Amino acid sequence: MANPLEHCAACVELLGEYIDGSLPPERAEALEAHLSLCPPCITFVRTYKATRALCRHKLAREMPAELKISLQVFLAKNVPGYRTPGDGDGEKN
Amino acid sequence: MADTPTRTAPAEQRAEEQPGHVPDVELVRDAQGGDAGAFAELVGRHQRQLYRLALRMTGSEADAQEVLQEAFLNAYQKLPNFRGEAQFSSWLYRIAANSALMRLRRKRRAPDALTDQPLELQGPRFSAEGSLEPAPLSDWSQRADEKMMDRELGKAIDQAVAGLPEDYRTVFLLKDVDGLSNEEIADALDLTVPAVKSRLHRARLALREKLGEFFGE
Repeated sequence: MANPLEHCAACVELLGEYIDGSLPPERAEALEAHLSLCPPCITFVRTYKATRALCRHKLAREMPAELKISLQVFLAKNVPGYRTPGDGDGEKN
Repeated sequence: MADTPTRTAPAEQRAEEQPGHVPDVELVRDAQGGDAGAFAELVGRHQRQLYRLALRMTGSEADAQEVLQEAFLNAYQKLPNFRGEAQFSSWLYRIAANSALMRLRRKRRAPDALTDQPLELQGPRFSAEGSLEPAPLSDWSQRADEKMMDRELGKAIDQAVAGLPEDYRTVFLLKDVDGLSNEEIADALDLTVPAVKSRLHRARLALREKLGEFFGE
């Protein structure tokens, strides 16, 4: 077990990378060791994650169907030989 | 340990990882050879993410539509010059981001739309010893699930996000709402990856404070 981070401030500073999974393992272990000793930081982590989830739920936008159509019409007019592919196949999410 | 890093869910597996998928690099080669169908396939593949980028940068559906059209037409015209040194998606994002920035500048007559803004973002406070002060009183993450559809909460989220400085807001929306990678955002906005991470984290901290106020933390 790694030595825990000494301060909550250090824990909060590393939280972004920890949540995204990009924190080096030894730093992640030190952060987790701090969390195991610090209930306020556990609450902080949970509410930090909930913030992301709430915003994603509220603000996620799909590309409107009419905009897809207008883009296809525009490209068909401006790109020689352009033809519309089947929508959705292989499309990135 | 209750909290672990978030991993990519299987449902979010990218199309390029699926069997039978033709990589962008092959479609680009075909399109460069005059195959308009291959270009159409690239459009279909990248239009959603490009739309999100354009929408987040301009903040307007109408502007996003024009940026998208301009970006794909520019990409088609510049395709012979694409040498494949960068990923096609990064190259495309950069074209769209430039188009969005030019549109913003024309509207605002401001020289730089995405620059460092010396605004103080709210975040947690700490004691001299580095402890959270005041300590979070309530774990409102439990109530957050129940309130997903709450109209007042929706308003609070809109206000909190609107209150972020623009360059922090754009990074936050692209990453946490739209799911672009740090590298994709850095390429599109001409930032370093550490700068993306820093802005993202500070934006999340500021939003957490605002939502904490809503939940009576």
